Amino acid sequence: VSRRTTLLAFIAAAVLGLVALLLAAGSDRRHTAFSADARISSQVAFATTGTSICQGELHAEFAFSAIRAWILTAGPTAMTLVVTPRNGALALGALRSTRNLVGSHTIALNRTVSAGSRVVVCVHNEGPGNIGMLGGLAPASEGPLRVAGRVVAPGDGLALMFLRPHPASLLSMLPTVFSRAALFKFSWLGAWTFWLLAVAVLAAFVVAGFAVTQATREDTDSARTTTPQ
Amino acid sequence: LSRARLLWNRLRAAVPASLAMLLVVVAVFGVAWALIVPPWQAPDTPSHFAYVESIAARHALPGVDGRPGFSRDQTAADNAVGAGRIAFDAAEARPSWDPAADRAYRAAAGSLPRSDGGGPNAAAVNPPLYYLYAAIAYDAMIGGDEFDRLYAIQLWGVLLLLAAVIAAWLLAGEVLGPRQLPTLITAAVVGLLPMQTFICTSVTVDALLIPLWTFALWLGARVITRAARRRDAIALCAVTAAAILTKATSYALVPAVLLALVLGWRHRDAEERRALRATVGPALAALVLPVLLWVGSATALGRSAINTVEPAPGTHPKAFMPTQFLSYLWQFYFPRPPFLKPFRTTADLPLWDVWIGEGWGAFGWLDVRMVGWIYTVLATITGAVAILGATILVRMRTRLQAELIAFFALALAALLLGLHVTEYRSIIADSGPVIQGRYALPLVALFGLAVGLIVSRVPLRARGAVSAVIVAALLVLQVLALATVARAYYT
Repeated sequence: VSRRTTLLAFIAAAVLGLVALLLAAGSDRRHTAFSADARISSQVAFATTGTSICQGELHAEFAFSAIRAWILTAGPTAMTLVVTPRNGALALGALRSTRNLVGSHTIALNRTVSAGSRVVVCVHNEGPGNIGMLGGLAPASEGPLRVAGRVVAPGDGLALMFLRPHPASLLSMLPTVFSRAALFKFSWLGAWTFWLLAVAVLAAFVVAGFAVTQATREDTDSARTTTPQ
Repeated sequence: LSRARLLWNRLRAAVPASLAMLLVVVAVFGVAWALIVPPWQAPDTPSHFAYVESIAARHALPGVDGRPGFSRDQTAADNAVGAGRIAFDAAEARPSWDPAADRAYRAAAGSLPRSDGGGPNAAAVNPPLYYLYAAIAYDAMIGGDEFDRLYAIQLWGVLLLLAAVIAAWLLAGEVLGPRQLPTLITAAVVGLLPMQTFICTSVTVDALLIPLWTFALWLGARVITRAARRRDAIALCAVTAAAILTKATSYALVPAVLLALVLGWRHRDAEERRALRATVGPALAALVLPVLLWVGSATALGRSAINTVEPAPGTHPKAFMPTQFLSYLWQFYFPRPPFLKPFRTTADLPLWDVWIGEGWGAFGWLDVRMVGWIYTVLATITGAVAILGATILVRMRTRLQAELIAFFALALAALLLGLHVTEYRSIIADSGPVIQGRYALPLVALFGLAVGLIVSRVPLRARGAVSAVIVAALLVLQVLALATVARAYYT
């Protein structure tokens, strides 16, 4: 058993795999700016023609320019999405359909809503069909859910995903990923822990390479001593 | 100083360098898994954590009717991060990324009670051994909050992962002989399979079950190959008892353990066989007494000592029909022929969905999966290992080899049969399917052993390179799995 061949094979396989992962992470476009944190368990709001379903005020953790919502409609329907920041201009979007809608739909806004705003998101039913919106248990920080101005389903919220104006690659988001991962863990833990772990993971490749090479050496020595001369 | 040096030298002599390095590698990935997964995003972790909390804070088993299943502190922590809200919904919802919510919970945590839980929950029926182990880490976090305690238990689980690696190393050494490359590969598979690292570093009984089963497989092999030496037999039975006190699934180990004892005893010469009572008596006592103690205690406390399948509310239990069970079993592993009534528990073939998908890696509440084509590759690898392994096994001719195969096969068959009978009974009781891929992880060492066996048959010139590629591939798979989890919850 050649130790050199073992080491070269390990380096080639590890480098190939890691480069492939880096390329994949660099090209994986992530659209989500943040989520309303509501689970999608059932229809939580229902709007007839001329009425609105509103959620908020929510805290816009990051800038967004489109919203993905989970919608059910029966027949042709038109709806207007109105995002009202506490300080700033309205952002508008529209969705029109001639058939039944079931599932998630992304509605683009006419402008980007900046990070840090507190916003109310409303879906206004332009008719003629009715609109149901999916959601479920939501944190109180997402504000109340209202239909035609009246609070409905206390504790529930709309399932909404707020999408970035420009998608970011998974690789470029690493600092954000690590700072988010550091929350709700050990009180002393920070993003630095995950940077340290990333370095340790890379170092683990080196250690693993030595482990295989060492095992190869042991087997070679053992084969040499047991081979009859 | 000289004593420390002596100890260090002894340790170096006892632990091969490649095993020590593998343990370092596995520990790094174990810590990464323990910390990257958001709170309570593994199957049933809220219930398992509540069990630990009941033992640590109330000094009592959970499952008491009339009490809440979770303490107010755990509920507040869960609500702060949105753990319950996003369970099963990682594709659409995210845990909270709000530092203010983190600070708000921690500010309130000191005044929230931890001993007001202890009511019924999904884990309450389990025996207490794992929870006693986890309670050590829980109690070590003096002055901490629920997140400190949860992650302390998860980090504590890294030791269980390392124990499984050591047990797999010993098993391979016992079965494959003193060849380091096949041994290293066996242990690397056990330590670096993504689902294994995820489960061992989650708060779950399976984290302890896996190393215990792996040790039992090693000790069983040792009992057979070394003619049932007294201490091996006692250790095997004690480990089996520990496995039963961890999860009732481990009753499935008993037939294989008894077979190992019989086979080991048969290896003794006539003179030694007469001393049977001196070996088997203490061994069986090590198995039976702790289990009887638990069963007696559970009965006295009005608890179930084994997992039972209850019919869904408002339904009537249906009779176990052997032909229907066989039909279910066939449809779990093979496509359904037209003459069989549909009895499928998953959208795709359960063999694919459960054993391949969930066995290699389904994270969170099984809702976070790696990119789809990876599972096709992993299924191909699994199939290749099964075929090559079987090809090698059928050529084994010695009595000892046949006995070892019988021992491993009985452990495998008993576990799978137990799981399938439980699932079939659950389905006919309208309680739905219950088998998850992680339930096969107690036998992960057998998969590692099969890979090690194949490596041992690779020509000597290529063996190092093949081993190197396997280890590198496992590491890359680990990074992919960790990135998948980070991507799902934090982007």
